[in-house]
Amino acid sequence: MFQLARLKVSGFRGFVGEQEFVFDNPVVLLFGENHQGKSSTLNAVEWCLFGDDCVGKKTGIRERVGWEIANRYMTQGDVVVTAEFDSPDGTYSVTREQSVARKRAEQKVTVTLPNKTRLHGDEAEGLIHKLFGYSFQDFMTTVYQHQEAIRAILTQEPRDRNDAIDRLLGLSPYREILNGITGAKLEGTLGVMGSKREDFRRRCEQAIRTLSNLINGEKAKAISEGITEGEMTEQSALRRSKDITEAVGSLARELGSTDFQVKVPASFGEIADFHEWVETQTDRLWKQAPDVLKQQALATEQAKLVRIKGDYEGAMADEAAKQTDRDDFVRKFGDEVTLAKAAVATKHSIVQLEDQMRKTNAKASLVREAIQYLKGIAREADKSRCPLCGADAPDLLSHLDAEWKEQIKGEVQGLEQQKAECGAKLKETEVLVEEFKTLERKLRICVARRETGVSQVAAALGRKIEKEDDPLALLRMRLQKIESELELTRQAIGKKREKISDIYNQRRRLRIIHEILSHEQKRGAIERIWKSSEFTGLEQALDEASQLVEDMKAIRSALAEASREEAEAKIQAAGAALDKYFCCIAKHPAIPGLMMEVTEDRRSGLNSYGFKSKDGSDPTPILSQGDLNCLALSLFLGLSEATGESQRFSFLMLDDPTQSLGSEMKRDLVKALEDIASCRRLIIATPDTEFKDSLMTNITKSKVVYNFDGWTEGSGPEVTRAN
Amino acid sequence: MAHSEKVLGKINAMEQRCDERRTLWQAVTESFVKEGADGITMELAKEMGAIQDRFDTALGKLDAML
Repeated sequence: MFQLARLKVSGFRGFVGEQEFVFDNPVVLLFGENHQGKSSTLNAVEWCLFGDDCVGKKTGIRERVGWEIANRYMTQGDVVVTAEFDSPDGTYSVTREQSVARKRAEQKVTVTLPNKTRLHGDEAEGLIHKLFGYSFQDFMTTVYQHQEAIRAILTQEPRDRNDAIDRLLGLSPYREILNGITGAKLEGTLGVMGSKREDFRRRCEQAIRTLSNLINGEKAKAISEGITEGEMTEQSALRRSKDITEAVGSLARELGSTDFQVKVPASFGEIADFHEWVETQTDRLWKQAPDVLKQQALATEQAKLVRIKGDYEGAMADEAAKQTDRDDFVRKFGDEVTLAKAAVATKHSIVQLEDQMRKTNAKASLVREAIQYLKGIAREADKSRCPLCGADAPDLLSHLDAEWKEQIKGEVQGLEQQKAECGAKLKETEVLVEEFKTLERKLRICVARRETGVSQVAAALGRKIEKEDDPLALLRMRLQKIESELELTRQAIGKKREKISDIYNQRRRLRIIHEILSHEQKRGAIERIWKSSEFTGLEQALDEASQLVEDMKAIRSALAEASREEAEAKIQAAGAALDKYFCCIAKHPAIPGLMMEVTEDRRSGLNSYGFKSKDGSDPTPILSQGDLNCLALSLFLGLSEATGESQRFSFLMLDDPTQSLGSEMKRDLVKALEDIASCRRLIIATPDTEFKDSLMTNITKSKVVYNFDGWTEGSGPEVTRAN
Repeated sequence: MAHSEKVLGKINAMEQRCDERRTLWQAVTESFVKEGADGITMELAKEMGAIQDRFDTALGKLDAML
């Protein structure tokens, strides 16, 4: 058992300079108002032993998130906490230090053994764990009564409550190991492996089904090709390959190939390549065969001559049509010479008419001048008498002038009309001349085309075409000859083509057999997978994983069972103390007594704890806040008492235990502490004067009080010791 | 440690695979002493991972055969 004997604190939270506490009395009170450093004193013990384990979210204490270790008002120096523990072997001293300058400064840990040997760093941390055997959680729930932790037992989620009670009972290793085993998620990994194996099995079965369908399909095709079941063997396929090789060789000889090389597959595995070889060889032989080459040349020439013949016939037809058009025109309107003569005649007529018109105009002008003259020289009496017969003719000159003008006008108009008609006729003749020229031009083009056709025929036939030759007849003759030669070539090729076709057929059948046998081989290989060493290896790995999971399940069961048995034993041992403390402190009228029970959480296999009143009811819903704290304190004190011998620390630290307790409850708590003080050193922090006075009066063991007062930023708490 | 002895007692009383489970339990407790619950998790995950690696290797070969 380790007894906390001395504590030195500097730079820790509200502390500045070094403050020493000597725990040399059975009861040590840390008394003072809030925010004076009492709780920090108890926290310093925790931090000294557990370092960063008592900081942050992982502690389960809300206030510890963002918790500051170093005094925020100090800018230099170190945080140093030293705790000395007396044991039967002597005094062990633990010192933890860190710089105040950096928030995440590295901590230095030193453990001094009774023989003054000093251990540092990991070695020191290891010794702390080994020596005291506590985790921070263990310490918090069985040595240091932390209000939040105790309340969690009753107010938080069942899982957290069970965890806390397990720790109070000293069963945290069981729970930790169970959590460690669960964390490995072995069942999940085994499940993944099982799924993969099942997926592989399904894929194998699917592949076998697919291949079987393909085999059946190919076999049906083979039977339709006249292949018997007996021929669907490797030996048969190889024989067929040999036959095909011989057929290709024979064809090569027949086609006059000199560089043909024989290839025969030596094994079934070479047949796939053999297919390709046969295809390449037959194609090559066929393309190089003289008859085939001749046939290609004839066919090319035939196509060319047919095209030339078509062009020539077209040109001839066009020429004939254009000639007919020209002849029709000439018949209707005359040729170019006739039209030219008509045009000349018309032009001549126009000239004559114009001459006549000029003469008529001149004559008219002369007559008009004569009339004017006569008008001027005749006497006034003569102007009314005819100069020829002398008869009276009033206004004779005026009548003569009017009559003359009328006659001239009629004459001129007649000439102008004739001239206009001649102009129209001339224009019409000119249009006809142009039409004739167009017909002549078109005809010449057609003639030129036909003559080009003649040249093409000559070039295609390779001879000169005289005027007396009929190109079409010559073409027909050549085409007939080509057709005859082609027919002969076709007949020559026909037999060879039959051979090629036969080779193709044989090759197709061989391919079908090859497909069937390949699929059968693959199916066989998949069916043999189950007997392969790889599959055996897979199954062995799966069996091993399954066995590991089974073994760990058995170990988990053993762990859970041992944990439960131990919990039941401790609860049985603590039951009386729990009941005693609760009845002693709470004195609840509706709860005649308190019982605790443990069952197995079926989901996790961990311990699940429940509370019952002695009358069988659940006490939690009817408890006030004060009652809850009583219950929490009773549980802590009762279990501490019950697990006394397994605890390695022989002191208890209680932080403000009288929250929400009435005066009577406080007095009853003091009575309970009086009992505990007989076997454990009590270190109690409280701001409660009534409680302090009661302790000082009613605890029969010797006591010492550290008064906390006058805290300042610069110097920290002012602590004075009073016995 | 008392808890270890108690569990060991229960394992010894098992009818099947007593030796193998005892060995396994010793490995678990050693990991716990060294590195706590996380150590157990890592150790078991490592052991299972080794089996899973062999399983995946064999499955890879079988996939190639398929």
